[in-house]
Amino acid sequence: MSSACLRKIVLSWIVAMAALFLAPHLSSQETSSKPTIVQIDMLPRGLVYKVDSKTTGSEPTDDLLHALNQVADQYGANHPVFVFVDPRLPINEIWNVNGVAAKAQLTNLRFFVFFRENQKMTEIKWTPFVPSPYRLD
Amino acid sequence: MGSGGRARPPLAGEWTDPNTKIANWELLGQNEEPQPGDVAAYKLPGHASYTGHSGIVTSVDSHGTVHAMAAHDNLVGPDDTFNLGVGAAIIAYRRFTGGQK
Repeated sequence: MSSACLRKIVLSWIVAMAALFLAPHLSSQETSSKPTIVQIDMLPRGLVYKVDSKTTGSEPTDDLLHALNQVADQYGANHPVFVFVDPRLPINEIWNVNGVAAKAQLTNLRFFVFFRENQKMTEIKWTPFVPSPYRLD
Repeated sequence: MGSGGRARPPLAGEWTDPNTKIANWELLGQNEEPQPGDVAAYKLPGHASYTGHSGIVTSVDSHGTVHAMAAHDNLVGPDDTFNLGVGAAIIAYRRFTGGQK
């Protein structure tokens, strides 16, 4: 057997072994370190959601849940999602988007209030729920 | 009962609503702990194609964390979002209290 032929066999074997080793680590999900940006704006016609600058609709095929499902399918549940909220939004709406993302199985969310006037933002951090010592009416 | 008068399963938002009577399923009180078999749900108001998210409690661990199974876009699987501050600020649980006649 010539050395060229032997080299070809060894090279083929190395390629085959590398493919066998790497195959289990490959999946249909892409990886992206760039976070998905969700934007919630309060307009006169109501709340508007955007996912990576694309406005969502109200149908099951184009609504916020659908868009977030696609993010989860494409990048995985732990993909970072940054939610930018209008400062005029009720806090309940922030929980609402959190719940929609949870329904879409996204687990890596961060919330920011974005002030357009000065283009600054601040992160919202939640502490664990505790029983209240106060009773409010 | 749906708007067309035909029977249908309760929607997630209805499981959470104390004003919605669901036969044989009682809402747990604030101090009652969920158990396996309970339905867990939270509301997601303001969306046209869904009213919330619901699942069935499968276990509650020693830390009080509720584990459940729920339906998602393309699978039914484990879901740990039915805990305060994870999926929502208010989670409702309902327990089966009787049999069908």
